[in-house]
Amino acid sequence: MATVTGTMMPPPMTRVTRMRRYLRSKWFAYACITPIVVATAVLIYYPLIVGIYYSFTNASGTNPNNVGIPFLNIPSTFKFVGLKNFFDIFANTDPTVDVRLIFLQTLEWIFFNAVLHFSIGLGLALLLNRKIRFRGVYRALLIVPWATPQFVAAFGWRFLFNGDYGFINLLLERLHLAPIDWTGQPSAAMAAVIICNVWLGIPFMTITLLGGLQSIPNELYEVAELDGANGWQRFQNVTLPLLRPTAVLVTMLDVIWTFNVFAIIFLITGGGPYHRSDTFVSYAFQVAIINQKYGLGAAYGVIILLILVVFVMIYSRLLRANEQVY
Amino acid sequence: MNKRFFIAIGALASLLVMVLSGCGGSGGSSGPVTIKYWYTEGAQEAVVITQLISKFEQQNPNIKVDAQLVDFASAHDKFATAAQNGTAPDVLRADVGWNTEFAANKYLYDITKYVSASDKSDYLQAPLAYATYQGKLYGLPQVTDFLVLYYNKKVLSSAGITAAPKTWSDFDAANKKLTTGGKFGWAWEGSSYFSQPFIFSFGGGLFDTSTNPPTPIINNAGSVAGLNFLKQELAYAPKIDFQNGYTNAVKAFQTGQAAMLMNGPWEYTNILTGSAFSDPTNLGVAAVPMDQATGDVARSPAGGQNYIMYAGTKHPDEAYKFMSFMSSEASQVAIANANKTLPTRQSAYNDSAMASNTAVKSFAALLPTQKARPVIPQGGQIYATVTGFDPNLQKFLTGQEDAQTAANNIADGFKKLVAGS
Amino acid sequence: MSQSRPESATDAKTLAKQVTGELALPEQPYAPKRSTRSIVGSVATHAVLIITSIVLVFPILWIVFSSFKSNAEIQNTTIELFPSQPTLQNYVNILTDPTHQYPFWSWAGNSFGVAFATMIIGVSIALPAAYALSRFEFLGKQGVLLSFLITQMFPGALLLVPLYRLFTDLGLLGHPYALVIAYATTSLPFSVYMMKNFFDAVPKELDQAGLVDGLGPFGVFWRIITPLTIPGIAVVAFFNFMNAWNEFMLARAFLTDNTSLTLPVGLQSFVFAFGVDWGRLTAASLLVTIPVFILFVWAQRYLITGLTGGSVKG
Repeated sequence: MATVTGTMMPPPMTRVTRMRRYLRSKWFAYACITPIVVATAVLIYYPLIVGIYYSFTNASGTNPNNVGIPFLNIPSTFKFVGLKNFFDIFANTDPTVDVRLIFLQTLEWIFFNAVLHFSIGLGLALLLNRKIRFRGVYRALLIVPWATPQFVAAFGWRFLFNGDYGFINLLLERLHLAPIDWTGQPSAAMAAVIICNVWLGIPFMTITLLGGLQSIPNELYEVAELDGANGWQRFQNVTLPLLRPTAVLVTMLDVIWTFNVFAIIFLITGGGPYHRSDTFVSYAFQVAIINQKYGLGAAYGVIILLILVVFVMIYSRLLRANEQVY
Repeated sequence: MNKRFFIAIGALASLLVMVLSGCGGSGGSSGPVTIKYWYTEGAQEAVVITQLISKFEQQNPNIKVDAQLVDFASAHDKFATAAQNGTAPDVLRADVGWNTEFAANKYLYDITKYVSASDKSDYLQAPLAYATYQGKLYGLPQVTDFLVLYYNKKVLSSAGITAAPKTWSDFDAANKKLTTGGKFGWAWEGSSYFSQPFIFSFGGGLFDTSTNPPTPIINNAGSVAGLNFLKQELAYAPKIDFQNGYTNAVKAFQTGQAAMLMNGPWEYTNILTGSAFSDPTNLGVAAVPMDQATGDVARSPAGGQNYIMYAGTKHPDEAYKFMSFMSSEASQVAIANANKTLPTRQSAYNDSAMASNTAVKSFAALLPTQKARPVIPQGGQIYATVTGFDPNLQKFLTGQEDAQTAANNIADGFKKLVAGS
Repeated sequence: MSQSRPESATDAKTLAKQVTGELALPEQPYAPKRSTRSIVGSVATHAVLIITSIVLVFPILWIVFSSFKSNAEIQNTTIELFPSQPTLQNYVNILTDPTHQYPFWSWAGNSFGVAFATMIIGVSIALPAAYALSRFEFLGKQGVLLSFLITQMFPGALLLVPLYRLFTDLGLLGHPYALVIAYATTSLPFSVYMMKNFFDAVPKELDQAGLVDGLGPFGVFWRIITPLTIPGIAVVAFFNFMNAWNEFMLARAFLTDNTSLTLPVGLQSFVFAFGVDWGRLTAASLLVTIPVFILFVWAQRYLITGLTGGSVKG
């Protein structure tokens, strides 16, 4: 007991002991950070550089620009081609695909998903933030899509979208509406993949926004009520500004995750018809792995990186603007 | 630090992988040799294949076959991936189009030395040509196939149609009669491969291989006429779901919703499981219709599957033993009798065990209608999205492009394909 | 001295509990007085919530009921939610693999192993890093943080070609466990980011108290602070596990042998060139989803605390 009280009162520190402690803690900090720095350098940044290198080559899995197979003693025959891949992409020279459309579809994909996730999520969060019966039940049901693995969701929706025996078209038929050509019509195909991803993303938005709402102190509402603010004014002047940090954060995460989505597009429409539901991510896979054009595929990877850099810049602006709220 | 460091990490990871995966390799040179084999048959077709494999293992106690099902749709890129990585199967059942492509990429083992002249001469000419690249043999043909016109006899006769349509105008007339009350004249699979009978029968084609490099002729007058006729007849088929087109078309035919279907022998046994064919004699087999003006030209796309051997195999002798067993006369007869697919050996057709196989007989009678596929190194990619064949076809069928524009775009894609850019 | 250590550490822990207990978020939602809301409003609220719940649950229900149907009944053009002749055949086919074509247990084993290894590696690398970033000022900290902010956004597609090529050169392609390397590192930045938020929520006074008690920096980190962030660790572990369990693109690109597949790619083999085996696919989907569901129910409590109290600063 005596030792405990003894240590509770720190001995007067000299400059030397403080310095030693400082150095010791700094050593510890570097030790903590080393594994992750090494891991990201070797497994993210090094491959990134390799990817950029490949984007300047015409490497492919087929002749005449073969990457070579060391295992079979087949030498590589691919060449450095400078900016040719990027030129081909930006000049839109490939007769089989319209790159401009893929770019637009990527934006469309992110925009609709982000907007629908956020608006539906916020709506549900506001409803669930009230004192209502069965709140727990609703919340539990709401979690279901979140707990569903992405690929299972994709298979499930592909099943529902089937032209002949899919539930959605059967239902439309029952209602004497024209069935929708989910895989043949570009807009319907895009809608199909967006619907699936919106379905998957609603719970995350709802639950995090609900958390954001719940962390707004009740006193603020009470004060606003005393000031005579009505429901809408309270929403506008208390809820929205205080929810904004949460909203900006979850929207950013949502955009990143949405941008990354591959399985849904690949498994539901395969990017079709004629690449009209492809995004850069799903199309890059098609180019790099199915068509085995590693150089061109890597160039798409670099373009994806550029898009992300632009996004990070916009986002950091937003963050800065956000901080001014406080 | 860069590459070496990564390799060190990689080596460590490999070690981890080895430990975690239980170090499966038997390693020693004694004891049974394991041959990895990827087969791509559908569930129905695969039954006889697995039976043959266990028979092979019984006959060759020193060879184990690790047979794995790899879906036909992903087998091409998976084999390419595994070939570059050194983990490809010793033997693969490959589409004839892939054979030359893989051979040109040096993924394949040259099996010329194993095959005697007399054995070689037993194979049909066309399938053997697909297995040959630059004068060397890189595969053993397993089955050959082409498209035929399947029809529902009962439905056709009750509509007053006494014989299967011989010409496209017969086909059109039949479609008009048959498409009533929720029923359709025919069903179409909705992909490039199945547009070929139309393209070929009007005098079109894919490539003119007499030139070097081969010239695309997918945009000539005959091809375009074929595409336009296809679109016209789609008015009498269920709406195409491009993603599930194949299944839906077969399904529509099996259930009697559609009265005709153009498909290959490989689907024969599966079609018979459908409710419309509980009486198997109700299934009629006829040649793909012809265009009256063009006449009885070769118009049905010839395909097929070959057994090929990976260049990196450690056991070529055993792998060949397995390949030759699987493509022996007895095995080919067994496969033909089980799946009603067409053997590639002349002797198999003459085998007494085939005498009662009427399905194969009726297919074999239609062999003259088959049109060989261009044997080019890029053969495996013709129907892949890389050429824009399917995307442009879909644009044409959904009214985004006219036939000529779509065909020109496909021709551009073909040109790029053969140029290797 | 050595005897006094555990005692004082316990004291620091109790102190921490008090502090974090005070920090716990108010669970009571703000609710306007009930009288201000009409019955119509309440009915409308419930109607919206019921319809949404149905839409959100329906696809899974459809999979559940279809998994008890035969393929012939699934591909039927009439709408029937319930199977007319319920059958367990799809489950038997999946679990026993009578034709030796779909090694579900290998896939499940691979998926579980890969996800578990990813989780262990991811958490053990992210944990100390997040602590250091939360507690210490050191040269290069801003650079590290910025680099994480950027890498956090790297999609798999960016690393697809280079990893494919590098793994090929090393002969690692085709091994499911090679994916662990890719999964653990690509989810690291986000893991660190979440974990750092959890550490930030623990008052720095506790570290000082620990140091004063005579614990070294590692002791403070491991014995005082880490136990307080168990919910955070659970969230990060769960995140890593799910990331690996769900990943499709790299697995599809890198794995070739049927027995080496992970579940997402394995299940794709029921969607083949010549048709879809919906019976097996739905049954397998359900079998795959159930463990995730259970895990999710367990992790949910921590997850929500983590997401609202950790990554979202109210």
